[in-house]
Amino acid sequence: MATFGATSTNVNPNRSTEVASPPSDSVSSMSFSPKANYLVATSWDNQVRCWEVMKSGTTVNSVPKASITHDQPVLCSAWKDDGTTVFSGGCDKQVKMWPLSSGGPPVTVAMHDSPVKELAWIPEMNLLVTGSWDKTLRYWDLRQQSPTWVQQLPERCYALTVKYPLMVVGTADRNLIVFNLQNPQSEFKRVVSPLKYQTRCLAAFPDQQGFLVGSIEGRVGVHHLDDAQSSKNFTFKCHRDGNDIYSVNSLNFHPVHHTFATAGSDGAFNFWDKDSKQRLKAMQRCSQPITCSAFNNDGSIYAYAVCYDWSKGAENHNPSTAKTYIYLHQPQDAEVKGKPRTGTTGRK
Amino acid sequence: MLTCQRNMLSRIEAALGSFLHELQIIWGEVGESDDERDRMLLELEQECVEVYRRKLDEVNRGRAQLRQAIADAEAELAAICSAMGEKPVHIRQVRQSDQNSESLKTELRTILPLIEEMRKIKFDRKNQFIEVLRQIQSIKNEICTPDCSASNELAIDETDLSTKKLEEWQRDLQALQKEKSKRQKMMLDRLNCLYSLCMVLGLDFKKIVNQIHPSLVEAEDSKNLSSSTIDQLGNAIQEIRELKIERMQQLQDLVTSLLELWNLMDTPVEEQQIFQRVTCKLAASEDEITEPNILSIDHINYVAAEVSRLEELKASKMKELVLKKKAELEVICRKTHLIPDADSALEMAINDMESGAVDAAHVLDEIELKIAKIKEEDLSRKEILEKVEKWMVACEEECWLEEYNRDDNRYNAGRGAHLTLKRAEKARALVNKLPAMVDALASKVITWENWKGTEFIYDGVRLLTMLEGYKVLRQEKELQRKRQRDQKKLQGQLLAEQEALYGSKPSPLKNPNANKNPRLSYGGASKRKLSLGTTPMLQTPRPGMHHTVGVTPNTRNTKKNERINQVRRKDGRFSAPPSSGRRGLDMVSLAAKQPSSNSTKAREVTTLPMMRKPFSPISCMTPSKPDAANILEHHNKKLKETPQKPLTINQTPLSTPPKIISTAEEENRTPQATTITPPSTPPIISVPMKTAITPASVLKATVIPALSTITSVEGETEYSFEERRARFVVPRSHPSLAV
Repeated sequence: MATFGATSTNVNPNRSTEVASPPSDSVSSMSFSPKANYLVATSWDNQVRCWEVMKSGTTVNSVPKASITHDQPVLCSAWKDDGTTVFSGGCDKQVKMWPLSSGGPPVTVAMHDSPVKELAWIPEMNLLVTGSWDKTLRYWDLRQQSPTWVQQLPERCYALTVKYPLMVVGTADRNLIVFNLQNPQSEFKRVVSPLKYQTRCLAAFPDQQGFLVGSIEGRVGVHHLDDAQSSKNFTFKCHRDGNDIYSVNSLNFHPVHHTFATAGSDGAFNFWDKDSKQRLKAMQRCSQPITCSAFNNDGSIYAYAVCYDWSKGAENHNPSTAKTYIYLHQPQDAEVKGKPRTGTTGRK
Repeated sequence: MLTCQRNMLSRIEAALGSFLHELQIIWGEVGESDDERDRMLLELEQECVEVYRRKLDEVNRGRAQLRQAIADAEAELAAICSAMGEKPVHIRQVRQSDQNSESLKTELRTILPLIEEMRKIKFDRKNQFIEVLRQIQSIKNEICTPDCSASNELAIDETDLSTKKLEEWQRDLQALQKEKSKRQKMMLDRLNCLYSLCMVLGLDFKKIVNQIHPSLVEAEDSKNLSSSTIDQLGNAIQEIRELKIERMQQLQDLVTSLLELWNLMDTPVEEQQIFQRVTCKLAASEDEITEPNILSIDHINYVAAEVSRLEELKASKMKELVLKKKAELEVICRKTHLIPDADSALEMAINDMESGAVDAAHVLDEIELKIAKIKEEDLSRKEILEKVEKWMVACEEECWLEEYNRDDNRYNAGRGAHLTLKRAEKARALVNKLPAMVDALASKVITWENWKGTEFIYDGVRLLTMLEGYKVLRQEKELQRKRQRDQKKLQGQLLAEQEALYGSKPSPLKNPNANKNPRLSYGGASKRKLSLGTTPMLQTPRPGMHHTVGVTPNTRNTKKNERINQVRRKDGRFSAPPSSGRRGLDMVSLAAKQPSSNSTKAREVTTLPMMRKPFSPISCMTPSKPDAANILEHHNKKLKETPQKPLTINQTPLSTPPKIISTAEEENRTPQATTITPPSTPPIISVPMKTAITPASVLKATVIPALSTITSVEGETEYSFEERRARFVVPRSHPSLAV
């Protein structure tokens, strides 16, 4: 039986709003529509679900809208920039394009030799990029059957973040490969993760000057690309409880204030400001890990999924008692607004 | 018409007249007699009458026949009408109304087509009846068992072909059809049910059904729908369901033992995965088991084979298991500080098991029983054990405090000094509480012992004895302290005498810095002077201080040894009597008792016993002096500087082992201690990140419990959580993992 933090048995200590009819198995990824408050979550029960999130005053509520099914567990999802279409990929080694607004049937648009772990839509290039455990990164023009470009990776793809023209791919063996998407066919830079343990998640800075990397050892690295700024690089610990160390599962930059949120296997999520090196807010631990999280387009809603993330292996998974929840947290300004200590960002 | 007939008659009369006239003429010529003529005329008349009569009879007979025919027709019509349930009235009416004008022939002509029509209608109706009855019959034949169907053969009642009757029959037919469809549905349901059961049980559906009724195997519509068949089907379902429940229990028993075996033997998940579809049905109810062939004999045998295979494996692994269990038992014992009483018996049992004299399972059970017993006992001991734990921690703190108090460099204000200070403060508070804690614990233990009727054993030693020992030790320490205080007093007198004789001497040995300080008499020296004098001390680089520590290793070591001794004694072995030369002093009580200006003297006491000879030069005591001065200096400095130099608690000592750094001692009474406490927390506070400059410092937690499962496979291929869950295996490098 998994015991997390030993202290909290409350699954929703932060009193967040629960999303109606959540998936029946752990959530693997979540993303908000860039245009409206539509939330999409992929899960290990092979489903891709969509909810409409409605805000009225200070309350939010959600209505399940639609869902599609893959043949295998789904691992990743992304919205097209116009908010009409959702891409989802997973263990069935393919990516499905789901024209949500037109209500059409999902179409397979990308294939890999192994499960697809990550994918992203690059509106500036009108391309879909997918990363897989088959150690490749593939770019797809949706009108063609075959990939427009196959980029070999040194290892299996574990994490990916895009902020045009910056793209960072994290793989096994702690490789981080940086791409300049203006020249996507060659690696811009390859670095070993500043963290000593497996890369779990990545988030590119909104100003494209660097990226955050989270590891399974409860640590986040702040890494700048420019060597001249390397003095500003640092790492910090988080998602730890005494001697217990938990994985950092999700990193999300706030779309407006450019602070960021971390979520971990300890069931907590925190808000941070990397420029002032401050933790803005530590939320209460949930009784289960948080596997993934997402901000909506204006940063007024932070969605996080509370469910088992396999961090303690199958033996700690009890399918009969395991429950999956998706919660919506409305961050206050104080939680996500950086403290006024500026002057170090946005310099090229 | 009539005129025509009249003409005809007159013409006949005229012809007759001419004939008679001709006859008169002939007769006149012949000369026939009148008699002859009369006779011939009479003959003629008779013959004529004869002819008329014959014709008349004929016509009369014809009319009678016609009448008969009409009557017959009417009768038939009436019969048909009555049979059809219709009123024959209008025919009669028609005839009566036209009676005068219509002749019999026309009447007949009007009736005949009516009859024809009615006959046709009747024929049609009859056909309808036949059709309905045929259907009824066929349904009855289908529904009823053959023996009862013969009795009520249906016949058409020719006299009653009314629509009412037809409707009646049709109603019957509909009812029968309804009944039939009902039965069909029931039959289909039962067949489906039977089929799914057969599928689950792996039985031959066709064979079973064929036994009930051969028609059931065939295609649609021709199935026998008799009640007996349906009942038989129901019985068959019941039987098979019972069989299913029986097998299900059988399977679930197997699965239970399978799970137990897995659990016992740590069977790899891959191996378990094969039986996933069975094990997930462990707690399923009868109707939840729908998977085909899951309850087939083959499948049950398959699972049983796996169980027996594991049993065999278990038997072979039993010894291993027993040892494992034993280790577990030992761990639990260690955790609960219980000594497994019948250890030797267990050892013997294991030996016997190895030689095959004892069943391994029995030994295993025994160990498990023992574990359960210990766990149970632990429950009752828990409260006391927690207290013991606290006591141990307090004792440790006490030791630390003693050690710390002996540390000459503890007032150096280095990094992390405030932490040590804080710890010392806490430790002092804790040590003060110790006697009460011990008393409380002792009373608890006594209650427990009275309740249980046995002694409370902690790691093989009675806890009460330990506590008493500790108390004795404490009293001895107290005594010791008193003695030392007296000695110190004496020493002070000696010192004063010596100083009066020879003047103070610098200490050449320990600290060159001390040379710069003039010897000051403790009581009378002004603080200002002291602080001035010791200023250079503060600037002494730390390595130098470390050196000082290093110079006197033997004294340190002896102290350390003593401490170890003390700890050991606390652990329950009170064989060694406490040494009379004990130097471990309780600084707390001293510091509390003496005025702060004199605290330096208290410090000195600790160094006093370092002297090997009663009258050795004072120099060997001097190392304490700079420290002593330092206290005051630090005091002053602190008083002055506190506002300017707040202590930063947020600064994380990533590379600061607390022991090495000497720290400033905080007096119990100094109020400045409060400056250390962190500010109270507002609802949303920003906390600085616990950062490190990349690459991260090497001084990092080496034990990562949460990651133990992950790091354990390092050296092989690493896998992410998702890969583990999806059982993804890197194809080329480790094909063996794919099994």
